[in-house]
Formats: sequence, structure tokens, C-alpha cells
Amino acid sequence: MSEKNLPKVLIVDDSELIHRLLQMRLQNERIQLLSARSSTEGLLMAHELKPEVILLDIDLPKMDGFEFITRLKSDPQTQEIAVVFVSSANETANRVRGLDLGAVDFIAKPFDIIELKARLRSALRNQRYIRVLEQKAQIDALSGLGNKSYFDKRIEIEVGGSDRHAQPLSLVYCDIDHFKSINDRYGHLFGDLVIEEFSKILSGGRLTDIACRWGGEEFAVILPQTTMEEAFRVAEKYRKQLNDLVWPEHPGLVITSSFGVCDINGCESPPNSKNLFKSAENALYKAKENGRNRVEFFQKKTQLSTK
Amino acid sequence: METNPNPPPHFQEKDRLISTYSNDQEIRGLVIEFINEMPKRIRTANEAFMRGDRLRLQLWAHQIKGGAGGYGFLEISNIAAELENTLSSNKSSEEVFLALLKVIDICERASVD
Repeated sequence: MSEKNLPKVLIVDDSELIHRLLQMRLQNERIQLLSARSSTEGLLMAHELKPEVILLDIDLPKMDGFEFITRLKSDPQTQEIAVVFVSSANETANRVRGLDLGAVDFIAKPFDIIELKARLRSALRNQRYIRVLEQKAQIDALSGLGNKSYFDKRIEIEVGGSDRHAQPLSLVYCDIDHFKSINDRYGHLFGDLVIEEFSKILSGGRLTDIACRWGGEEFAVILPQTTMEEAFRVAEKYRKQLNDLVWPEHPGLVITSSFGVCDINGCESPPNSKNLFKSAENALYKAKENGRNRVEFFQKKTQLSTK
Repeated sequence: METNPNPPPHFQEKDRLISTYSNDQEIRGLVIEFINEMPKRIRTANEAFMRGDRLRLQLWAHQIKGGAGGYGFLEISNIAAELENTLSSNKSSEEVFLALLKVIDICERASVD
């Protein structure tokens, strides 16, 4: 594992003695060790470098460890970081307060290094489990795509990024035409197969595109740095691929899909994730109204279409 | 270069306080550095006491309490904790002085095998 893939552990302590000691003691652990000598520096590093675990002192000048963890836990960007207090202010009241503020452990100074290493490994292990569970909870089992919960989080992140960097961002919202009839006529197992195949098409596009199963036979693909015109071409490619797919179980069967496309600059005002989604959904309804198996742009007043 | 620091001449062999990590090759060098820095550390504490800067002295005691044990000097940690308590409970300057002397005494005895 290269250095940059190792889990990061940040030490926030104003004592040079502790930094020196931990640097030496933890040098052979499979971690990347980072050091901050003040709370302010620690918060900045936590934000920038997203360590897995922070080893935090309590008695820090200006901003103590309790205020540090309170700020860390109130910031969505850093609240998932595990905090282990390492402090000689180890009275019960401090231990309880630290844990109640969200720390996962409390190690008293002076510490036994064997115990500190074991507790650090345990905190890192738990963080790894949490990451795996988080990932599993966001993946749709049948399609292997991100699920609605993942989509909701991801669209917020992408809209934020597009706004910060003044980059275009498009959304494709789509579904499989007459999916209920396919299920009724050919059975649910075949219906599942159709979902799987369509998912493969949606996830087989550009590496930067983010395909999610929104629910049932409905899907959403987030296209970062993509204008509405480019997104239209991408959606058109998806549409054609499903249309042309041969189903060996049912020769001659053609399954189609409909698409609504919108970008952040062309959606309902104000431009945000909710309006981007609503606008793409409106464009999809238009595609359905106009006969299905087609892609529609969202336009505030008039709709353009192609087939 | 590793130079094995020795306590001042007025201490006898039996007074030496040996780090429990003397033979721990991973940090032996750091322990020696810790001992070599002791005179400077003691000077800092003395100066804070002379200035009447109790807060600075309390922080000093707190850091010694937290750090010394990790270098194999648990007794120094314990004595520093007493000084910290004396300061945090607003004891008289005389009591603080006596507690500080105890810390300085034990710090000066720090040594490695």
C-alpha cells in the first residue's frame, strides 16, 4: 500500500514532547501520521486532509479540546472523523464530557504505548467498518448502482462543486417504457434482467458520470462538467443502446426508454439540486407525453425534442 | 551521537531515577534527549515561579505530567501532577514552591541505564 493510501491519523497537541514520542512510537504502524501544534491548525488540517482518526489533547491554549471536537462534529465535512482524546486531564468528568461530545475513546496520559497502539488500531478498524456499511447502504443491490440515498447526497455535492467552480452540470432522469407490462407479461425475473441490462448501459458511459437507481424502473445520471447539449447526446446514446438490445429469451422484443435532460443553468430558478431534479423530471414527462422512446430537453417555456 | 547523561555530582548512584524505557531501542535516543533538555526545562519552571506566573507554571506541570510517563518516568509524572494540583487549588506560594522543588529534584535525577 503506498503512503498516500494509508489511513491518516492527526495528532493535535501543543506539547512537543508528545509529538516527538508519538512520531517515534507510531513510525512502524501502517498509518500516515500528521501533526498539528494548535487547535486552529488542527481544524484546518482536519478539513483539508480528512484524517480517519484524530488523537486530541484537552488542555490546548485558546481553543481547548472540547471546543475543538464541538466544532469538528458540527461541520458536515469533518463530523465523521473519529476522535480519541489523549489527555492527562483524565478526571471522570472530563472523560464523560469528551465521550458525550462524540469522542470514541479516551486515553489517559501518561499512556502505555502498547495500549495506545491497540486503541488506535481499534478506532481505525471501526472507521473502516463504518465506511463499508455506509457504502453498502448506498448501493442498490440489483443494479449495483448508487441508490436514491446516494443520489440525494451526491447531487448536493455536485451542485455545490458546479457553483464553486462555475462549471456546467447536467442531470438525466429516465425510465424504462411500459415496465409494468414487461413484468406482467414476461415475469419479474425477466423484469429484473431488464433493470440489470439498463443499469449496465447507464454505468458504461463516461467515467465521470454518476448513474443511480432512483427507484423502481427510474434512474438518474449526474453528468458533471457537462452542458445540456452534451448531456442530450449522452442520453440519446443510452436510449439507442437499450432500443437496439437483443433479448435472446424473447426474440423480436424491443424494450425502450424515455429521458428528460436538464442542466443547472437551464433549470427552474433558483438553480439548486431540487429544481434541477424537478426540471429533469418535467422533461421526462414531456418525453412520455410525446410518445416515449425519446429524449427531451427541459425548457422553461417551450420544449424541443428529437427521436 | 548518543551521550549518556548523568545526574549532577551531588546525586549518588542510588538516587538515579532510571527510565523504564532505557533498553527500549525504539525510543532510547528520545529518552536521552528528554534528559538532556531537563536543565532548560527546569529553568523555564523557575523563571515562571519567580515571575509569579502561576498559569505558565501550571501549564508546565501539566505538560511534564503528560509527557514524562511516555519517556519511562512515571514518578516524574506523578510528582508533576501534585504540583499541578497545588496550583489549580490556589495554594499559597510557599506550598507551590515546595511542590516545585520536589519536581525539580526528581527531574534532576532522571537518567538511563
